[in-house]
Amino acid sequence: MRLKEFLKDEEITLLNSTIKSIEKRTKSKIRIYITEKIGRYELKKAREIFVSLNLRNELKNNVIFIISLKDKKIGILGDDGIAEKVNEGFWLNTVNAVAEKFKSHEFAIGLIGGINLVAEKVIEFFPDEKEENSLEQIIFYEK
Amino acid sequence: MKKIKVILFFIVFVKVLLYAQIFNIDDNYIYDFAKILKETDRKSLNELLIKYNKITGIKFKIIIINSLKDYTDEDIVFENFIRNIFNSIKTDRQNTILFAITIKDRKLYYESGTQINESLTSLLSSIIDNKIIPYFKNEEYARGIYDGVRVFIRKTEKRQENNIKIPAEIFYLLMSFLIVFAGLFLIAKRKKRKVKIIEEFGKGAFTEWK
Repeated sequence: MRLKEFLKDEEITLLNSTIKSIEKRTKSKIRIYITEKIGRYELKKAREIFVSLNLRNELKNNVIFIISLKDKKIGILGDDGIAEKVNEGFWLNTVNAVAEKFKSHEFAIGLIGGINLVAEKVIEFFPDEKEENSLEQIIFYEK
Repeated sequence: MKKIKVILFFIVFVKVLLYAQIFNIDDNYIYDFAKILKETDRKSLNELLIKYNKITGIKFKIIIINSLKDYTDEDIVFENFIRNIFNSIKTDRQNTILFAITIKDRKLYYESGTQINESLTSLLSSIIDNKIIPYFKNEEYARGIYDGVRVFIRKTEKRQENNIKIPAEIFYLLMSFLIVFAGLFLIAKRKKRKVKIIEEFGKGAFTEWK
């Protein structure tokens, strides 16, 4: 499967609008990154991706979802600011919930479920109120 | 880590090889087994030939022996005998001119490596005929060799300057430095990358959906 074929256009639109509406209520950013293969050292690679997308900020409150198509892996990485606010099991519980939907090929639904779990936390710990939608890119593909 | 070890091994291995080449530098250009040259003349001529080599890349080797009979009772061909001596000298033969004389046997031999320009060989032949042999006929061997070689150097040095070749030892030294720098650069780059990878932040988890 090609990277850009993983999500249908309408699913991309749905994910974009979901995340943008969440980001109106929080100082955090949530991003999705789709890659061919993440390899053995997933978290190290995830950190590299996180940095390459300029997601590190002063509040350290951003979160990324990473989907690796060849190894069929779904991952999540939250920066230190949010990581210290949630319990240890939060990250694994979130990806497990997403993976359950992925197993039945409900990729967009799985992602929206995971994004909403994250949204609850970032809105609680890093609240904000913005009127306008962010124009930033939400979904990234490996080049 | 494994890659670094391979790079280090490669650097050390190449360095050893290159130094082995460098330590084989042969600064002796005159093999005067007949002892006809005064030590001061031999040294001064040798210095000239070292300088000549540095400028032109050409090695002018001189072998002087008294008589073949001092070395062998066999009826050996002079050329073969000289070639055997030549083979025992560690030198880059392609860039070497060999000039050999046996005093008592009154024989002269010269040979040019494949990279030596033919015009140099012709010039040497003419110097032998017109400069060296007349001295030899008067039994002024030392002067014949000394003057003959100096004339050859003087006449060819400028001609060869335009065609300078990097002497092998300098070439090996430069290559050696280049390889070490390349190795260090790779290691430094690797370390830099490693620092980037090691830098840990945040928390997360991955799972499979197979």
